[in-house]
Amino acid sequence: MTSVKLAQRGHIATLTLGSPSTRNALDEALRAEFATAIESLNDDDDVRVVIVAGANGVFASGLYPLPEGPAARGAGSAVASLRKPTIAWIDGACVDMGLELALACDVRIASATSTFGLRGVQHGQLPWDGGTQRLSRAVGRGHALRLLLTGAVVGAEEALRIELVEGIGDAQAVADWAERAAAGAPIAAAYTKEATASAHDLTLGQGLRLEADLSVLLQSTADRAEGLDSFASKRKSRFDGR
Amino acid sequence: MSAFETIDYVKQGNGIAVLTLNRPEALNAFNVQMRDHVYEALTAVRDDDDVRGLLVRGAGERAFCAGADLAEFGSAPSQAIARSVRWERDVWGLWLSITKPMVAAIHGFCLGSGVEIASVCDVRIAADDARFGMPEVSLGLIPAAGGTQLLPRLLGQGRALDLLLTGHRFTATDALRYGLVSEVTSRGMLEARALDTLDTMLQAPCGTLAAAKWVVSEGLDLPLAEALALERRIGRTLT
Repeated sequence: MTSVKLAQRGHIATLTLGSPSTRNALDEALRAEFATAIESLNDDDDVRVVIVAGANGVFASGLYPLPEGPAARGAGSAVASLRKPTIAWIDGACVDMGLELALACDVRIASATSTFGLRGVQHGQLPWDGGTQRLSRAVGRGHALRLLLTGAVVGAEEALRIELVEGIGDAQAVADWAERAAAGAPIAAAYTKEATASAHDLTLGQGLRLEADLSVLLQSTADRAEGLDSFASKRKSRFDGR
Repeated sequence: MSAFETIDYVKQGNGIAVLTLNRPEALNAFNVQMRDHVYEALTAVRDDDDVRGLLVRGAGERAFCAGADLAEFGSAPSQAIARSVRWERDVWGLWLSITKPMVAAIHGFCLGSGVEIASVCDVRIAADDARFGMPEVSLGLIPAAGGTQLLPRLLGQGRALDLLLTGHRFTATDALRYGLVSEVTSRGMLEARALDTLDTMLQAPCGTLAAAKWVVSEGLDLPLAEALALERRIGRTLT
């Protein structure tokens, strides 16, 4: 367990991929290590926000064939299973399985020198960790097909313009985002993720039903009472995740 | 003129009705009474053949709508009752079901339910002083008027989660960049631009406008092939 470093400050955990000899290539070993780390974070109520980052000027990369068997799991599908806010801090190359990982996070902030691309098709290989599906949902059909079919690698400005990333910034901008997300009520954040994720799959009417039910369910939480009380008395809220 | 305490509903006589959220002393916060009044006004919008389009705005200098009135949230009944109340007068479902064009003219604070009210309209225009945000999660809540469903559809999943999970405030310029509003103008020009937009839309026949609005909404819920078939089927009823 050396290539995925876990650091925690307050309620914010940072998972840093650091395998410099392979440019953070998400090979089978790194994927397994990453998935184990994600599982432990999902079970840890003290962790409310997860930052995914890469060391040594690379976010993540790697182009590997789809493993045999139903257990094949990429880092993207692992991070997508988290019930808490996730942000990708992209500083450097974010390509192939690395971009699939970033796309599976809730939000992406990139440094100005970062690069993005899915080159698998040009190498005779279909992305298998959500690249074809999450990319097209993020940037639309036109940009998705252009990037997938040409294997083009684009810079941060273009990534922002086509809404592949939500912001260009530095480590401080990522820390600020995480602080704001960590200040929210954990169950409300988890329900927000659940409801918005369903927006792609449900009709609007069905989605509104789900949203209303989750909203009513929140009435049973202590955090909702705390949120309303702290607002009424103009003090900072303290959420316990209950 | 208007018979409501919390809103102002005025027919201009040119096919356009104006719905003004009118609790300026509370930054036009949306409360149960306002929900009932809006419900009645929207029923009129739906049923009144003299009304062909709707402008939605906020009264006073400071806000379009600063969100739900949290003072009423403490008195929540049981969850079972809360759930049935939500669907007894489903103002959001009614709002989304009306096939007449609607434009939101947004100034000042536009927070939480304010963003959701704007999002059920077809076009959003902001004054340069508009300030937006989705504070629900920071209050232990989630949006309950379509925010979790409409924002991903309007802005994309990533930006919607950015706004919803952090609750951060953003400006009219940001809203334009995110795609939440289609135009930013000066405060002085706001209403004129919104009315111009409605006027332009109302150049088209009512039936065609209604069909376009309905077929876009329905089509987004369907597989493409079925949506294309629906488009043709509805198109043929117009000719």
